[in-house]
Amino acid sequence: MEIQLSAEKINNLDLLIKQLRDIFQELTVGIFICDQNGKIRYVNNFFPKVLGSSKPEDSVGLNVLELENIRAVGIDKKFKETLEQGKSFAVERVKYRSIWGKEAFLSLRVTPLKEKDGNYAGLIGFVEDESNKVKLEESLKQNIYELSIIDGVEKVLGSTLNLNEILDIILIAVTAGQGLGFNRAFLLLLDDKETFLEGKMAIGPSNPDEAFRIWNNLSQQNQSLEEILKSYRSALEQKDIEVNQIVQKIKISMKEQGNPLIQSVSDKQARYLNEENCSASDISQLFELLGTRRVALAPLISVDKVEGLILADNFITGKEIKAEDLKLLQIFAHHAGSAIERSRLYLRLEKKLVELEEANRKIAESSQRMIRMERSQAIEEITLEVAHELRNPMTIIGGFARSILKNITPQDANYKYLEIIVSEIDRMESLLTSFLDYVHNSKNKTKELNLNQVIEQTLETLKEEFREKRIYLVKNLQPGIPNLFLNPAWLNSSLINLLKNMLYNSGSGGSLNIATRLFKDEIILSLSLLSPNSIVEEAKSSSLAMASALIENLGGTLKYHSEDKERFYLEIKLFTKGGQDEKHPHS
Amino acid sequence: MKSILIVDDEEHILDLYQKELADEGYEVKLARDVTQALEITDKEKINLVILDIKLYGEENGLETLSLLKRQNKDLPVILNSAYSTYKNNFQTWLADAYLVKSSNLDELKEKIRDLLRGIR
Repeated sequence: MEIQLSAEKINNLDLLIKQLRDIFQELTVGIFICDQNGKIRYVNNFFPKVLGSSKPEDSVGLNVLELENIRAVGIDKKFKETLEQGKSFAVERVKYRSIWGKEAFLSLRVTPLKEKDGNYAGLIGFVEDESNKVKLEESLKQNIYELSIIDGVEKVLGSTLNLNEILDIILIAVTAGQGLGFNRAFLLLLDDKETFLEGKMAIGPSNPDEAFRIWNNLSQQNQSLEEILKSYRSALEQKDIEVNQIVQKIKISMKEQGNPLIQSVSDKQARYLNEENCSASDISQLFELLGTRRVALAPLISVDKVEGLILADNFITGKEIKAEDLKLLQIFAHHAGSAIERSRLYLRLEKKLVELEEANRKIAESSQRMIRMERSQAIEEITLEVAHELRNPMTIIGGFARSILKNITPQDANYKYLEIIVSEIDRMESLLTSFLDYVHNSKNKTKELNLNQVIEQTLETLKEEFREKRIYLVKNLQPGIPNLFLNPAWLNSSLINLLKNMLYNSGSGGSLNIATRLFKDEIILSLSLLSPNSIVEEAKSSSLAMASALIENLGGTLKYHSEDKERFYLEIKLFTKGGQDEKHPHS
Repeated sequence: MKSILIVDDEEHILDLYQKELADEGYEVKLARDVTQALEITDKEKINLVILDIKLYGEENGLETLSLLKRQNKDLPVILNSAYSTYKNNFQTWLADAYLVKSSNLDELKEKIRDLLRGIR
């Protein structure tokens, strides 16, 4: 009920206002003075700015006990207590909508005004707009929240280098309530050639019932994000079949520059896609596949390299995707991209390490084999040497025995014994021949080899001889020629002897052109010697005929001709492995 | 009478071949190394050479072969070695025949007859 104020009371209040006016006028806090009935008698210049009115006079005359807006926030009672009982009060950051339509977080301090006799004459209120502070605090809270999420994810991502685990963690972090809190997440990765963006895996419930069951179960466990990330994987196993079927259907060529997903990969920016900001032709197929028309996407970036893309939506709850959700998704995607890159680097490193270990193993094996070969070769050489050394005494003993036998008659007492010597020597010579043939043949097994390599090795062996003879070598070896399948010792020996003979019979100075080329099923090796005072021509009749025989044994042919005394040309044709198989299918 | 030079570092081989070939009616000359062999072929009329490949452990019979052929490319040379492996060596292909040593000298004698008759 309104009190009838005496003229004296009003005069006293007006006097007080007059005294304080100059002090209050320029303060940057809203100040208002009400009479004992709650009617506003004065507001300072800043007050309209706080409440959103245009001038101080707009507020004078309003009653704080009667304003709906004040009642709505429940402080009308507090005003009443101040006016009637002299109680001061303060409210902090109450969300208030003024009669002029301004919404703000206000802090209010109200104190009763007393007259000299101690009676209450009204109240004075100080009001501040704390909206900016609230906004800053909320932003700070959001940043702390984002940092804590990223920190949690980063810790778990850092705990593994396994790519599949990292991809799982990324998806879980996007969808976990303690993480980014999206309903579903889809992971698309660039293929090795960076020509396609392909759906790899996804996480999320298929329908509200399944979502409720999973989320309810997880919320009861009251786990931290780190704990969730570690345990979520098993909780969701076998429950993401539908989303994974969806993601497998996504494959977009990087050439589709109009596609927002490709644009996101190209400009490395996160995007929120809906019907309004996307052209239907570019995205309708994706919306249809996902079953939603509101999708957030963020590229997975590591330094400057794009690894892929995360798609996230709120398919189940339909919750709006806000700018801060998108921002957090983008920050997260950067960390996820780095983790993927880290894992790939590790995989590459691991592969290199395996290759290195394999190379080391091969080197160790080779050196062991070399040692064994050298040892067995040394034993073989000694055995052969001994066997050959036996032949001379056998020749001498057997030869003389035969010689004596020719000059005596069977009646001679020693005839029979000499016959025995001859017979035993024959047997030993036969054994020796068989043994040497066996060793010789077993050394000369057929195998697959590359003619160019054999030539290089041969030329390396004869390097000094060529230098001494001042014969300049010209090599024209066709790269990539097919392998031959023949006796390497024969080929090696043929080439060495052929070249040695040419060198031996050539004069000093000149050039030797060695060329290989593939012609149908044959590899043609040509040797063209240009050297003054060459006697190759003279030597060719017997020696080259034998060379020809040896090459024929290798399944090839040898032809030669000389234009004059200085020029000698020799051509060897050998069948390639395929050609040889065709020619001798059962060999 | 045809003259045959035998080049070998084995004294008993020289004895054996000398006896056997002399019995066949040849005039036999002996050389124990490359120098002796070349001296003989240079100074005397030799119709055929029987040459061992390994002389004193070295393969200098092959070198002798080349030198002999340079000296007289028409001089028949029979390589006679305890080693059959040299058959594939290109350097031996200059020789007119290659025979592995054997206590049975029939094959050697036959080859000598053929070569002296001009049959290669």
